[in-house]
Amino acid sequence: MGRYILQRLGSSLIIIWIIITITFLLMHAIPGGPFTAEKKLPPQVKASIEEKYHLNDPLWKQYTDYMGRIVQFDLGPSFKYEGRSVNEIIDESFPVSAQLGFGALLVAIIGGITAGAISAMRPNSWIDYLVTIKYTLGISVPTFIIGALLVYWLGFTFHWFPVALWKGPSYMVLPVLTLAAQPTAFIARLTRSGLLDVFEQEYIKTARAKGLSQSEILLKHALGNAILPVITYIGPLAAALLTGSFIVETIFAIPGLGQYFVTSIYNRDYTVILGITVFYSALVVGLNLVVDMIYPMIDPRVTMQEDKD
Amino acid sequence: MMNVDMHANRDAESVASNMMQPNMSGMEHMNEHTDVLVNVDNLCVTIDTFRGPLQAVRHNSLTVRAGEILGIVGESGCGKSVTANALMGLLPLRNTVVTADTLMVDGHDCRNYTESDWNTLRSSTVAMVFQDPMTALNPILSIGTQLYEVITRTPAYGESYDKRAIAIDLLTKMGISSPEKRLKQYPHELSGGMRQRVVIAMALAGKPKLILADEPTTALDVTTEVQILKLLQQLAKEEGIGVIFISHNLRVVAQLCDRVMVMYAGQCVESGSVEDIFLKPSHPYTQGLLRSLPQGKARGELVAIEGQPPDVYVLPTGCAFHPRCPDAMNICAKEEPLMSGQVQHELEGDGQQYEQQCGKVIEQPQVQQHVYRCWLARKEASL
Repeated sequence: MGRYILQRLGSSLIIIWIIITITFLLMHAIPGGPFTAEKKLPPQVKASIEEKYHLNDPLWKQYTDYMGRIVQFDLGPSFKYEGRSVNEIIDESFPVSAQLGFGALLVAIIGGITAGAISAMRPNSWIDYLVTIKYTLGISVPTFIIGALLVYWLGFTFHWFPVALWKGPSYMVLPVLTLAAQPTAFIARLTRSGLLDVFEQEYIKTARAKGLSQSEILLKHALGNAILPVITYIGPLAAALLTGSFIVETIFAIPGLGQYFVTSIYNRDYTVILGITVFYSALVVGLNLVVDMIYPMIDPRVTMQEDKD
Repeated sequence: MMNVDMHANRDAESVASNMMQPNMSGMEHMNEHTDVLVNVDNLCVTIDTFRGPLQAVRHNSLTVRAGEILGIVGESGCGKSVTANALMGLLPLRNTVVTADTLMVDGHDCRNYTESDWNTLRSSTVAMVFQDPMTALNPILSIGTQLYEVITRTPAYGESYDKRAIAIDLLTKMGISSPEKRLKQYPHELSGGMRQRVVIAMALAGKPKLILADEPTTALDVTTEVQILKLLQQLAKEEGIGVIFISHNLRVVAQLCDRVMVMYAGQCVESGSVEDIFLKPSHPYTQGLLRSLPQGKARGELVAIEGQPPDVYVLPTGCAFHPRCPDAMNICAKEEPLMSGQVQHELEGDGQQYEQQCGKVIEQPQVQQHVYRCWLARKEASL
C-alpha cells in the first residue's frame, strides 16, 4: 500500500514535469509576449523590461531557470500585476474558487446520485422523465444561460439570493447551483444507467429472494456497484470545480482563480499561465490518486498492486 | 441409478432432529412427510414483451410436500424457472401477470401478494439457490455480510443469537474449510464450488421449509456437483425441507428426485414418481427425452427429438408438441389434450365440468399420481 502510493507519487511528478514542459513550449510558440502592446514601447524600455524578467535569455535558460524555481515551489512574479507573485495570486483566489467548487461538488454528488437513483427505481415513470429532461437540459444548456436564468428568477424576480459578489453564504447559492448544473446532470445520468444495469444482475435477484426491502437493495446491494463510474468521473471533476470556472466567476463577479487563468492567457502572463497550470495539474493528479485509493474501499476486487517485474 | 433409499431416512432424521429443529409441527409425522408445502393449481404466467404477450407458463399445477424433492425437467425456455420464480414472487413485477386458481405456499394464499407480502415468506419460508454462483453473490460485499443479512432477519433465531457463530456453523455444515476466514472474504476470492456452497448456506440461513434450486449445479464441475446433490438430498431427508430441483440433466434428476415433472412449452406434460417417469414414460416427449440419453455401454447414435422447440409466441394449435411428435394423430393438431387423470373422470361421466376447464388438473391427488397430457391416454383409456 505505502509502496504503491510512493510509486504513484513518483509517476505523478513525471506527469507534472511533462505538463510544464509542453505548456512552456506552447506558450512561447504563441506570437507576441507579455509586453507586446498596440502602442509600441521604445526599444530601450522594452529591452530593459525584458532584461528585468530574463525574457531575452535563450529559451533553454528560461526553462531551466523556471524549473529551478518551481522545485522550491516558487512560481515567480506576475508580469502583468506588478509587485505580486503567482504564489500570492493563487493563495488569494484559490480559497474562493475552492469554496465555490466544493459547494458545487457536494451539490452535484448528492443531487446527481439521488436524482439518478430515483429515476432508476421507477424507469419510464413521470419522475424518470422529469429527471431525464432535467439532465438533458443540464448537459446541453450552456452554463452562462443557466446562470443568467437563475440570476433572473431567483435573484431579480423573487429576490431570494444576491445576484453577485462574494460576501457570505447566501452569495454562494446562485453560483454554486450554476456551477453544479452540468455535473449534477452528468452524475445523475451515470447513476441511472449504472443502476439499471446493476438491477439486471443476478445478485439483485438474490437480494430480493432474501426478502430485503427495495431501499435495502438499493442502498446496500445496488448503489455500491453502480457508483464506480461516478467515482471515476468525480476525480477530474473535483479538480475542475475546485480550480474555478471562468464563466461562473465572471457572471457572478467572484474573485476566483478561473478569472486569473483566462486573463493571463490574453495577457501572455507567462508565469501566471504556467503557475496556474502546474497548480491545476497537481490537483488533478492528486485527486485522481485519491479516487484510485477510494476505489478498492468500494470494490474489493480492485486491489492496489505494486508493479511487478 | 434411480434408487432413492427410503429406509435410510429414519436414522438420519433422528440425527437431524438434534442438529436443527425443522419448522414442522409434530416430529412423529416426519416419516410420512405429509405436510404439503406448495400447492399450485392452474398457474399461468404471461410476460409482456416487445414482441407481444408471452405465455411462459400455461395451466401448471404442482405440489411439494415436506422432505420431498420434486424435479422439474424440460428444454431451455419451457417455463421451469418461471414456475419456480412464481413460487416466491421473484418474477419482474412490471411486465408479468401471474394468475392461479391455487397458489398456496406453506399455508399462505399467495395470489395477489405484493412485494412486501412476499418479503414475509422469502428466506424464512422459501429460499432459492441460484444457477450461477459466479453472479448470484454481490461482488462488493463480504461473504459474512451477505450471510448475516439473512440471519438477522430470520425470526427463528429468536431474540439473542450470535450471527457469526450461526454463519460459521452453516459454512461448516456446507463443508467449507476455515469458515472464520471465509466470512471476511469476498466472492471473487472463492472457487466456484465454494461459492455455490455459500449460496446454499445463504438459502439455508433463513431456515426455510422449501428450497427452490434452479439448476444449482450447471456451472459446476462433476465432483462438486455430486457433493452439492448429496447435500440437497441430505437436507430433504434429514431436515424435512421440500426441494424443487430444476434441471435439464435427466441423470441427476433420476438420482436425486422423488417425483418428476416434465415440462414442454410452458406446460406440464407428464408428472409422476421418479420410477414412473423413467421406467414407464408415457408422454411421447418424455419418451423422446429418455431415448436421447446414452444407454449404458451400448454404442450407437443418440436418438434426438426431431425438430425445434416451438416459437413461444405462436404456439402450435392443439397439443404444443404435435409437430415433433412421432405418434401424432389428427386430433392432436386440433384440440389440447387433458391430463390423463382428468380423462378418467371424463369417461366416468362427470366430464362436462372438466371439459370447460381444459388443460387443468382439478384435484390434488392426481398431481401425486402418474399423469400425462396426451391424446394417447384417452385412446388407451377408452380401449
